[in-house]
Parts: sequence; C-alpha cells; structure tokens
Amino acid sequence: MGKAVQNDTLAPPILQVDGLNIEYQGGPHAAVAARDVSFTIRRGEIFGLVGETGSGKSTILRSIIGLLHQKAKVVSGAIRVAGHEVTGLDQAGLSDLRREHVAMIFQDPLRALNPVMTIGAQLAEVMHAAGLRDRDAVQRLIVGALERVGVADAALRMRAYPHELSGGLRQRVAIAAAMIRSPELILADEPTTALDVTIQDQILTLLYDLCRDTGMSVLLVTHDLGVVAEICDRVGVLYAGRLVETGDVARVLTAPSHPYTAALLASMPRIGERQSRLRVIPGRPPELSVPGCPFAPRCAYALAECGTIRPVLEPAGADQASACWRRDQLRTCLAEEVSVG
Amino acid sequence: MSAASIERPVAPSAWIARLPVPLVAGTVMILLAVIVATFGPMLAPDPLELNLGATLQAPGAGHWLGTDNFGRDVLARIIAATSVDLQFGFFSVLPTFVMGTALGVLAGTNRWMDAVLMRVLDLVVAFPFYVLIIAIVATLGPGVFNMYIAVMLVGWASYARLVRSEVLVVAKHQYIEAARALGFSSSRVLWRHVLPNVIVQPVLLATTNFIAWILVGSALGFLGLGVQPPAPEWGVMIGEGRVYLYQAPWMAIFPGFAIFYVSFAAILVGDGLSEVLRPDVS
Amino acid sequence: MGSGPILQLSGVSKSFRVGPRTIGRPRAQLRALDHIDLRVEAGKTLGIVGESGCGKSTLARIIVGLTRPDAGTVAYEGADLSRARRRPLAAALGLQMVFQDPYSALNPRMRIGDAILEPLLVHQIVPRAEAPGERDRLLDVVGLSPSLASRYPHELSGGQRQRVNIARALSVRPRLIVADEAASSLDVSVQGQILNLFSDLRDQLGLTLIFVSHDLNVVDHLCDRVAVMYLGRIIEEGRPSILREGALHHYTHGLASAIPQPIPGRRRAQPAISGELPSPTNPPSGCHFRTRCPARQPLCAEASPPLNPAAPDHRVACHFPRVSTPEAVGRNHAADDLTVSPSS
Ligand SMILES: Nc1ncnc2c1ncn2[C@@H]1O[C@H](COP(=O)(O)OP(=O)(O)O)[C@@H](O)[C@H]1O
Ligand SMILES: Nc1ncnc2c1ncn2[C@@H]1O[C@H](COP(=O)(O)OP(=O)(O)O)[C@@H](O)[C@H]1O
Ligand SMILES: [Mg+2]
Ligand SMILES: [Mg+2]
Repeated sequence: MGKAVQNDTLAPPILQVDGLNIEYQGGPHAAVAARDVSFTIRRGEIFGLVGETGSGKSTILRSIIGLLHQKAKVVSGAIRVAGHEVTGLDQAGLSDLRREHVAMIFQDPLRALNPVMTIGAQLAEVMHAAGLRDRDAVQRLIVGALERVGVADAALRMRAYPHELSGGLRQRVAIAAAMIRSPELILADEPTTALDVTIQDQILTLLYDLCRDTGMSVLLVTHDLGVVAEICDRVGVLYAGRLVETGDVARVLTAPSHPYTAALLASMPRIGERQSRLRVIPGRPPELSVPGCPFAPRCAYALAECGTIRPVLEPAGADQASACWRRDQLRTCLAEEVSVG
Repeated sequence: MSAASIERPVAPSAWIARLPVPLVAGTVMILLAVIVATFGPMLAPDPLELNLGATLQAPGAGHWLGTDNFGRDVLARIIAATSVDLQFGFFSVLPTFVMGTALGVLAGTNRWMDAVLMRVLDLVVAFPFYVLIIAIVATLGPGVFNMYIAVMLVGWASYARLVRSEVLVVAKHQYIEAARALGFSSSRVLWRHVLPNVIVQPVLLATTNFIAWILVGSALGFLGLGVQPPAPEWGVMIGEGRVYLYQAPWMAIFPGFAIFYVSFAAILVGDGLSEVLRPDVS
Repeated sequence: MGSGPILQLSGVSKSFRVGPRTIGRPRAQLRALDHIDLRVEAGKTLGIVGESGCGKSTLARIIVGLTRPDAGTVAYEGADLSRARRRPLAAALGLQMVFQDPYSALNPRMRIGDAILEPLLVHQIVPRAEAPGERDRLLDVVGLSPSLASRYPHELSGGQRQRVNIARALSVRPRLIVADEAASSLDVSVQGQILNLFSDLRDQLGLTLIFVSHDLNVVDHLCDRVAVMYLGRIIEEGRPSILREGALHHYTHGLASAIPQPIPGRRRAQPAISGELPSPTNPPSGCHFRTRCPARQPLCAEASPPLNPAAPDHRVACHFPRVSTPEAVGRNHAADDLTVSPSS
C-alpha cells in the first residue's frame, strides 16, 4: 500500500491547499474552522483527513468544491485543483470545476439523491448533463456504472427509488453517480460512518479498487483512524482547525511524530489488546485561538514554550511532517506509547 | 463535592430583568388596554348617546376622534368596545387552548382516544372555519353567549391537531423512555416530560388566535350574529365606517388602530414567550 | 464475584407488524427476536454485538421492561418479569438503561440536577432533605462538577450529557445496567472516558453490565462474555476471544475482520463479508446467514442450526463451524483472564 506514490517526485499533484484559513462569520465572534491548513494530494493517491468532531474536516472539504455554508468565508489561502485556482471562482467556474475534475460523496447519500426520482433517472440526468443523448447508450452506460460499483441486478435496481434501497446500496449508487464523469478527484465526507461495519468494509474496498483502476484521487474525511489505515496512502491529522501531522499512513500510525496523533491512537480500544483502563486525553480542544500549540494544554509532553510559541508543520523524517517542537526528542516515546497501547 | 452546591444566586428582582423585552413590552401594552377597558368608560362620554346634530364630525377638540353617522363619539365607542373585544379574545382563547391541548395530549398517547378524536376532528376541519361558526350561531340564535358556544365547538380543533403531532414527535425521544424505565407513573411522564416539551407551539398559536378570535367576533358582529347594535364593537364600527370611508375615514381607521394595537401586543407576547419557553434555542 | 445468574432469558421472541395496512392481506411480520436464550451472571459484563437491525435494542428494551416479549420468560433474580402488566418496582428500578443518543435522552426543559433529583424524590431513595446532597454525590461519581446541576442539557457537551444519563440511571441504585450503544456517538477520546467510567462503576459498585454495541473493539475491551446476533438470533456466545481467533461462526469471524483497525497493511483484496443484509421481514430459510456465508452447504437452507455448546462456555449456531486451533483459543482465554477481571 502506498508504494505507487511513495516518491514525492513520481505523481503530479491533483490538489494543493496552501495556507487556508476559513472563518464562520456572523456569530458573536467569528469561529475559525481552518487555520493555516496546507497539504497536497497527488494523482492516484487516497488522502485521509482525520480529526474529531468540530475539528474542521467538513469545512475544509467543502471549501474545495465551493460548497461552503454562506456564513463561512475563505479568509486567506489558495486551493488549486489540477492547477486551477478554486478560491474566488464564480458559480459558472465552480460548475466547470465540478463537471471537469471533482465529484463529492456525502455521509448520508439520501441527501444527495432525489427522493422522487428513480436511481436510473438520476444517473441518466447526470449523463445528459455530460452531453450524452442516445437513450440506449445511456441505459447501457447506467447498467455498466451500477455494475462497476457492485450493484447486483443493476437493470432491476435502476427502477428503484432511493428509499427502497439499503444504506450500503445507496452509497454505491452515489459513488456510481460520482464516477460517471470520470473525475480526477473525489471528495468523500465520512462516506461510511452511517453504515454497518461489513458494509463499510465493502464500500472502502470499492473505493480503493476504483482508485487503483482509474488512477483518480480521493480525499477521504473520517474520524476513524481505522478507516485511514484500511485504504489511505497518506493522512493529515486535524486538531482544532490545524493540521498537526501529515505523512505516509504506515509511518504516522506506527511512529507518530505529534503527541496528539499518538494520544488518539492510544485511546482507541483494539481487539486483542485488552487493558483494564483505556488511555484518555484529558480536557477538550480549545474553542478560541491560543497563542502557542493548540494541543499544549492537554499534552503530556508540553514544555513552557509550547504554550507561547506556535510550532508549524515541518518535516519529521521521510514523508512525514509534524507541528511539534519536540518531534525529534519524542520519537521513541510516542512510538512506544502507540505500540504498547 | 457537595460543599460546592451552587444554587445560582438570584436576586428577587433579577428574573424580571431577565425576561425578554418583547414579552415585557407586549404585556405592558395589554395591561394598558385592560386599564382603558376598566376605567375608560367612567371618564369617556356615553358611547350610545345619539347626536343627530353633530354627525360625521372630523376629529377635533370636542370629539377627539370625531363622531359617526349618528353623531356618537368614536373615542367613547372604541373605549367601550375595548372590554367587549378583549373579553372575547381572552375567553375564546383560554378554554379552547386548554381543551384542545388536553385532547391533543390524550390523542397522542392513547390509541383509542386518538381514533375517536381524529374522526371528530376530521368532521370539524371538513367545513370552512367561518361557515361552521356562522352555521352554529345561526342555528342557536344570535348573541354573545351563543357566539362563545360556537367558538368552543370549533376552536379546540387546531390546538388538538397541533399538540397531537407534537406529542407523537416528543414520544419518540429517549428521555420519555428513560422516564418510563425509571418507574415514573404515566401521569408524571405526561405532566413533567411530555407536556413541557409540546406546550410552546400551542402557546404561540394562542397568541395569534387571540387576534383571530377578535376578528371573528368583529365579523360576527358585522353580520349581526354577535354583538348586537347599538352596543359598540371594533369590528362592527369598522363595518359601519366602511360606508363612510370617503366622508369620514376616522370612523373605520381608529377602530382599525385599536385592533392593530392589540394584535401587535399579542405578537410581542408570543415572541417573548417562545424565548422563555425554549431554553435550548437561544 | 457474583454467583448464579442475575438475569436469565429463555425463548424470548418478539415480532413487529410492519408495512402498509391493506385490506385482505395481513401486514408483514418482522421477527425482531427469535427464541433468545441468555444468562447473565451477577457482577459480570455481557457484550451484545451485531449489525443494525439485528435486534440488539429490542432485546435491551425487553430486558429493562420497556417492551414486552411475545413469548418466553425474562427472569430477574429468579422471578419471571415477562408476564407482569407492570413490573414490581424493585425489579423495575433494579434494571436500568443508558441510551444511545446523549442528545435525545435528556429532557431539554429540565435542568440536569433536577433530572437526577426527580427519581430520588419520586421513589424516596433518600430522605427529602438529603436528596440534593445525594444528587451532588452522583454527579461526582460520574465525574461531573456539582456546580453543573443548574445547567440545561444543551449547555453540556455530548460526553457530559452521557455522564448525566449514567448518573440518572445510578440514582435508583440499580443492580444491572443495560447500555445501548452508550458510547457509540462520541468521539474516540470521549468514548474512552465513558468506557472507563463504566468499568470503574462495575468494579466499585459491583454492577452487572449488558453492553450493547456494534463496535467489537469496545466490546472486546469491556466484556467478560459476548453474544453475537444476526437477524434476531444469537448465533454465537462465549468469551471475548470469539471476536478474535476463537470464532467458530463464519459471521463472527467476518464481522471481526471487517472492523477497521488502526494498523497499516491489513488491506484484503476482498471484503470480509460480501452481500447485503437480507430483508428482516423475509429472512432466508434455515440459517439466516447462509446467503452471505463462505461455507454454506445445502443443509444450511433446510434446517436452522440450534445454538449448541461447542466447548465449555462457548455456544455456536452453525452446521459447519470454523475450525479454530486449540492453542489459539487457549492463548486468547489466557488473555481474557489476564486483563479484565482483576480477580478480587
Ligand atoms: N454553520 C456553522 N456556523 C458556525 N460555525 C460552524 C458552522 N459549521 C461549522 N462550524 C464550526 O466550524 C468548526 C468545524 O466544523 P466542521 O467542519 O463541521 O467539523 P467536522 O466536520 O470536523 O466535524 C466547528 O468547530 C464548528 O463550530
Ligand atoms: N417498534 C417497532 N416497530 C416495527 N419494527 C421495529 C420496531 N422496533 C424495532 N423494529 C425492527 O426490529 C428489528 C430490530 O431492531 P432493533 O432492535 O432496533 O435493532 P438494532 O438495535 O440491533 O439495530 C429491525 O428490523 C427494526 O426495524
Ligand atoms: Mg463533518
Ligand atoms: Mg439499536
């Protein structure tokens, strides 16, 4: 896993996010949802964006496709999809972007599917919009698209309405719809969170296979480091709107370079590693901007300067970066914390 | 531990200061109207006194709001009508609110009651509202008492339907199950857990209905089925003034203002109440 | 350590009528629970796992008396509760439940202190004058500051609310608590706090726990025994090691492999279990799992396998169970004993 894109120079980037800051305005005080977020996704890569509720995952993902809530504003930063700048695009530009390069999958496919149209009609609509007119060809393509995402009896299922399908099938249909235009990048916001584990397993396998077959990239937003381990090549760990660690999944999960990543991993119960008590992270994420490292108040390794000077994401070994002053000193410490559990 | 039992220290007057402004303003406005209704008639001229020598006089020093086509003082008639209209508003809203809410809760919690009540409700809402009221009053005979009877027979329906659907929503919440699992009696569950969570909507409906009922009273008065002339009533006055809208606009405009004033006050009260009753939306 | 079952379910079944009411054709019958037999020892923790719709919540609700079974008995400390129109108060209070959704389980119009005070006063758990002190003590037990008592639920975080729910359930001094997905909607770090709270309560108060969850990691961490459900039936029951190498049922094995683990390099070419969950109103004949089972045989469609003992302390409902190596089982049993029960 991840071997195809191990070398930084191999694949060109499909998504570049640079110094992104997003605020929710209109409240008593502006809520900052993304602070100085920078990361790159290369072609063919599955990138996991992981963090707890409210850490800003959905906000960042939505900003890429111009679907931010009207109160949310990109204060600064650049987002480039396949080399095209996204911030500041008008509606026409955004539709072009969605048509040409990017598709999106949601946690609840019911929200993305029209309840009063059959599955087939909705897929046909997407094809019409993509310029296909021949009815028979469209039918054949739809059956093909549904079969590709593992929908059995595709010819029959296209006549079903979304509510008649199980959650897993709906998510498959949503993926089929997203795939129709052969996007270069799929944005998936917790696509399996509402599903059962066996179905989640199937959908993740499907996404992984589609990616490997077509060479598209996926930005997968999730709160579950397990999901990241299953299919992602690289991962970015968000904490209070900031990326605190990025890097190759195998490295980040086995040798984390930020205490938050390590603490998160250590607090997950795992089959076969029974302890009488789970490790927990005391306290809560800060709600307002703090001068130093946002994790410092909860960090077991924090020094005095962690509370005053903010670390930025800097390389910590091969294909790994960490926003921690002590990343080099803590290496062995953190690896131990994760392995002992 | 228990030493730190902090029971929010509240000064006696503080809770008034914390009430929402619209609620206070609306209540004050309604109280003013009640004072006018109670004491106004003692100070104002006789609202029934005809003066055919001074008909349709414009507002001025003698008659502040002018006179009508019989020379009666418009201000005196508005003041006299205040108590009629406020009473009609209050006494239509209160019993229909209580009855409708109680029936709605019963329907939402008991399947048999639900089946019966829903059929009755279908019957009531099958007819246009005004047609039903007018038909009932016409059958029973005109007059204020029969008007109240018609209101009772029809008015509960909107509350019952609203509350029933709210109860069905609230009953799905796990705190209702938790209360049952804790061995609370069904009446406790109903009073302490269901009712407080369904009451906001009917209360808001009641504040808007307050106006609606005053308008119904006026309409009935206008049709000669409610308040009987020559007794003053805002709706009746507007009806009478309609004919003279060009010569004597004050005949209709000022009673219209009175209705607007009360409506506005009721809306403010409703706004404020919704804030007080919903600690979770703020 | 307790002795003898505190709770014993025998042949518990429950059906629901679902779908539109039509004239002439009866509504579809949904068997939410199909002959459930289960024993829970006092002081132990039982985990119930399975995918959504397999009947976990229905079972939980039957245990605490929120739903009545169609058939079978629910014996709490030897007394059958299933037929009673209203449960005896002692039994009703002895069995409490903590609900899944911390946002929906608290009355939004009630300060959380009052939510805990209410059962204390209604059931006169303590003299009236001591009730506020008891409320503060309960808040303290679940790790909340008593100064939060005057807050409304919306003024608390999800984790804090779940603590209030636990305190409220504890207020009537139950002997058994059923937690239905009580930590599932919380973030990992908060989930850990709640799970720790449950294990502390179990150890300090000697509570019996039934922990319902779809998360096998959590169940393996917390439980002494595990029951796996599929479409209304228990298909395997035993020590937590059945969630690892010890699984005899193909479903248990597949379910356990489908759980994502934060361990890189586990990617399989194929999903652990293929296919969709069959319709619960029209489950497959014989073994319900056969449509998705890698080891199905013609027999599986004809006879439904009974839940039979396969080893001491281990029951499985499968005609052709997996073979699990004895040494793997032995190793896992050792791991079970090592950690969860601090053998007091
Ligand atoms: N509509 C909104 N109005 C105001 N603040 C919002 C809104 N949506 C999200 N936020 C804030 O932005 C932050 C990030 O939210 P979100 O991107 O949804 O996080 P995640 O997807 O990681 O759970 C949160 O802390 C939240 O308070
Ligand atoms: N009140 C009810 N009416 C009809 N069907 C129900 C009812 N409660 C549960 N069910 C059905 O019973 C089955 C089991 O549900 P449940 O016990 O909630 O499963 P779980 O908690 O494992 O997800 C599901 O198919 C569900 O749709
Ligand atoms: Mg989100
Ligand atoms: Mg459930």
